[in-house]
Amino acid sequence: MSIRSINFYESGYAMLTDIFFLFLKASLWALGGGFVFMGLIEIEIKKKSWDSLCDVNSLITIATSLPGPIITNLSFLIGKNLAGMIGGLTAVVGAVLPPFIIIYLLAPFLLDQGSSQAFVSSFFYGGLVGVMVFVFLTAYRWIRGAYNFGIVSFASFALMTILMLAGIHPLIALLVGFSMNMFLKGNTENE
Amino acid sequence: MSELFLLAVAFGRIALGSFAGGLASIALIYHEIVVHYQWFTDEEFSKMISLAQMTPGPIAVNAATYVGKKLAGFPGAFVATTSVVATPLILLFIVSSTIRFLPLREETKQRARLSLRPGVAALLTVSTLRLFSSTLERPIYLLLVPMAFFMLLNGRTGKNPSLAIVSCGLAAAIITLMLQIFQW
Repeated sequence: MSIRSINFYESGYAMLTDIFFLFLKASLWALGGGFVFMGLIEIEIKKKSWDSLCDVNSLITIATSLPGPIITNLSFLIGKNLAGMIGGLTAVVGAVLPPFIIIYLLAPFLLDQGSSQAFVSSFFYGGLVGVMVFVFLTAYRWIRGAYNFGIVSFASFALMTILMLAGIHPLIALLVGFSMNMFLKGNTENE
Repeated sequence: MSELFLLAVAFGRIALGSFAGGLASIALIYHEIVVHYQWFTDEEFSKMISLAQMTPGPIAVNAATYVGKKLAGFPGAFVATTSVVATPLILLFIVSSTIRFLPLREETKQRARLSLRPGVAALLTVSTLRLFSSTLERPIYLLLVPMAFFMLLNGRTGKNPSLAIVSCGLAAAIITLMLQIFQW
């Protein structure tokens, strides 16, 4: 038994099924899209104590800084860090299957509800409140991180937020913030 | 055949242009599907978006499956969805191999990684504010905010955030149902 538990993940296959179902579950519950998925996966990885195997915060940063859906980018990166290229693809397939199947099979029923329309749309608006609070709590964690990292990094956060709210393209706003941190942050202000 | 190719191109472009979460990509999807290729009318489009918002998964992926199926059945849905997922991953692959190839010191790379982090905080803040303004469309549901906070910060229920989200949805649906039944 002890040998089996030590070598459990060496068979690879077991880890791949674990990865597949972890991302399948998280994607199914991520009702509010990418930012909710991000928070969910952070919690799930910690629960499985895989956070020693991959630096989730760094991967979240990369996934959000690149174009494309955050959910699939992040799934690929985490899967790849856990179990190589095949792990990455497994994670992506796990994350994409629930929305694909739901839209492909259920769209006609969901669109044609008639009398239950009010019920479904109020479920959606109520759920949005939960999503908002959850994204707010995730945002709070990241803002605190930026604050702890120094005055320049907090200022860059505030500037980027203002730029994006003013309608500047997020890519430009992120570039401005990135350069601020990269070049203005003096060596006197070491981590 | 050419339809499948056009689907792949359209959703590849949508994926590469969509940045910083789903809500921002709606305008882009509209441009490709309604203005450029004229696959959908305005009405069909808004139906699709409301569907995409109440189902799980990225809006761009939901839209790809929906539009692909409408235009070319299963092959269409498969091609469009694969394109929206794979195109950014190919870009990711190119970027990461380029960075590995560049003669940068490990310190510089680490510094660059950390320099990107405040951006995530900013994106999350903007997203929170956008969500707040869309919940203002039905201000009565703001009554659910304390419940959401309670469930998410509670040690036991906080471990499973989807529970709080679904509970908020159910509570709102029950409120609406009661209002209808008693004709308040």
